[in-house]
Amino acid sequence: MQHPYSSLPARSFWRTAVAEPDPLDITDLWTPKFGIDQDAPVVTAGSCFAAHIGSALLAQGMHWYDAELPPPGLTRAEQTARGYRRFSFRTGNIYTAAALRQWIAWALGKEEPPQEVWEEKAAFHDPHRPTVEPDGFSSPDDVLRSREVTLAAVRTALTEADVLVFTLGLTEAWHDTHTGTVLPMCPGTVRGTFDPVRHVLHQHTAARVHRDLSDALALARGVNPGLRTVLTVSPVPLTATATGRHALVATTHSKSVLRAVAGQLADEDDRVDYFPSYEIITGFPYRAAFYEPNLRTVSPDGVAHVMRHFFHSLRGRSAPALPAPRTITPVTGGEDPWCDDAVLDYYSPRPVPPAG
Amino acid sequence: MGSGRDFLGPFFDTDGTDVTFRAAEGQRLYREFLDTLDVTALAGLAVPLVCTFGLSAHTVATRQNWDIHRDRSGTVPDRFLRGPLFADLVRATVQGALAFYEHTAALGLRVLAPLPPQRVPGMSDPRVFFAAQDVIGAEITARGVEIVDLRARVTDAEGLQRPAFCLPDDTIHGNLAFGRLVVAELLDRGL
Repeated sequence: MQHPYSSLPARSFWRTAVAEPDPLDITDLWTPKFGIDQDAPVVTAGSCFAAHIGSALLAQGMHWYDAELPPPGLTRAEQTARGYRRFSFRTGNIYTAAALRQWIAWALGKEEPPQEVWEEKAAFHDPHRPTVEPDGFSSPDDVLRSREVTLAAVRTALTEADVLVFTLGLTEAWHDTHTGTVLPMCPGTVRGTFDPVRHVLHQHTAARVHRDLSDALALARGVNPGLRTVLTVSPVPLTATATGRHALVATTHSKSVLRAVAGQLADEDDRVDYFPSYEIITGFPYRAAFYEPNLRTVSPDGVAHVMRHFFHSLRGRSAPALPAPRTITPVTGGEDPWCDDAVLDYYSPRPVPPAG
Repeated sequence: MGSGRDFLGPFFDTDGTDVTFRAAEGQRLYREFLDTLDVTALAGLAVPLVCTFGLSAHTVATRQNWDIHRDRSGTVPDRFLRGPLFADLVRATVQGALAFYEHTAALGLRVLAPLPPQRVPGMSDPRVFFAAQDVIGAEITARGVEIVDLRARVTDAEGLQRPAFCLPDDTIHGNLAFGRLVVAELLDRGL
């Protein structure tokens, strides 16, 4: 008897697609909705995992569009520490859909960013990208001028891009009730001072994430009607949760919401696609092999594995294994130093070393 | 400013501080670059100079140039390619470029030289290309030039440029993707 499953290809069945092949031989995890020409400008933004994508695009001969180049004289490490050349503009990590919508609304003049500046030890910081200038700016005006440069870069990037690749990272977000804005991270952890009245944690629902992403893309298409989007979900777990849940449960919740919304948007909109970074790292076949011992940081091999799937699928053919990306020496044990939220691990209880 | 072969033999004159390109178009472009940077002579350059003079190794490797050195099988022997005569011949072929780099070194300029696309057209001998490139690279490095070497990122197992970084329908040049990698590398070096 014929039924809908009778004529499906091997990739549709768990046994033949997942259980039987060698995990590294699993293919066809992504069927791109649209091609991306080699010279088509691709803009990248998102959580720390997204920082790997730009350099991988360049290495494969594609056009990663960096709209905010560093000033001359900085070493590669200094550029990275100051938020240059990680994403297509110097916003720092954008973990939430709400923050993406906010940056785009500011860049396109749809909303006014707050003018507040944080001062610490005679240095000044931007509450909305507190880590991009590690030593701080020399004046409040410098903070706001620098932000204007970044907003112009966001505007340029969205206007010029053929494709926006956005990596969703978190659903937990700290809101500033005083300014009505969403913050990139909890005040007091890296910069600023935590005020329990003013700074409130919100767990963004699937509906909220869907609305923020839809609004962000609608705004961007207002200046670039042809813009296409590839959404992906960072496989990097939450460093910490402030919800009171177990970190593992909170991570599953957050990633599940993001995964569901990204998939839904891709199903709803021909100009939006979903690329399964999350599955390629966290999927059953890989047994967490692509994580460092902290079970959080994705290893260079893991990043290469993700990008291999990306480019193979995009080219629609097999290709030799990609070299692992250049590694960055961690500044703390086992954490990705460029993941802002990795700093939260500092606050976690640690075992007391045994006495002499 | 010109094609690669224009910058192998003598192509400029100097009065000690500045250079004058012998080709009128090259000189016009040179003055235009200086005017854009608001300096009057090469000696006043405050920014790094990115220059590929002398690095068109495929021209140096033109087959006919080396026919006299081939063995009975038609191959230019490794022993010859590693020997002093070959290096002398290559140095003589690119003497104009080497003179330019000597001049920039005397001026104390920071000069960076991206290696060319690793492409060898049919008119050129691949073994001579790679050997000549090594000689030229060593010579300009000795003159204080920083080589920008992307070979590990753009070549295949044979040492030749991968198609992703080649200009299609062309046997010599790199494409925009290769240019983007060169720019990325220059940014990495603080430019």
